[in-house]
Amino acid sequence: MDLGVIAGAILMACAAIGGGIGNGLVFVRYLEGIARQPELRGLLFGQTFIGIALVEALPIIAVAFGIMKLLGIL
Amino acid sequence: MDPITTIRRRVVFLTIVFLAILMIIWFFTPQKRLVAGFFLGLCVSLYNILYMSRKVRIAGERAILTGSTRNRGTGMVNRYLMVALAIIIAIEYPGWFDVRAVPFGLPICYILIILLEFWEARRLNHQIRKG
Repeated sequence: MDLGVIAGAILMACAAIGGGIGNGLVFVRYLEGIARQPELRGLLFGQTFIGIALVEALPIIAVAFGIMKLLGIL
Repeated sequence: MDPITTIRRRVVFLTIVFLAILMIIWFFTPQKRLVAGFFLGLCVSLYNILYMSRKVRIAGERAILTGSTRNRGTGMVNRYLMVALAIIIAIEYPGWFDVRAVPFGLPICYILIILLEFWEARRLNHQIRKG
């Protein structure tokens, strides 16, 4: 098997694992906060949005490049 | 207005403005494939943001109603598959899209969210200091 394919697959896997763990951590805190204090949902939503955006921006790019590597474009 | 709606509307408005600017650039530039690829990435980014905001809102409402923090997911696989779809579309139609420009459009909405939220926090902080 071509090493590029393996590299692309590893890239995508690492991005998915990292993004999943990060998203999960942010999201669980959001749900705990909102279940405890529902009146703060607007503030918590904004902060969750920032958290998910910070966590997910890089894995999204990594997935894109991983697919390109997997399909032999890069 | 609901703060959730405010954030979402601002991001969508700015992204649509950005898409319109890209469309104008597409008409006048000789690098049409590059701009089209960036446009495709930005469209997927907008979809990702809207999908994520819907998922977060629904999960929050469910948590408020039930008091439970159990969740069925944030739709991460769906978002990643949309990225894959964008790349595959760009590969399938190389005459229209430059596949190398697609990943650069993907994080734009996320960056916009971060900038907007920081700007909003700074404004609120300034208001509190002023009294």
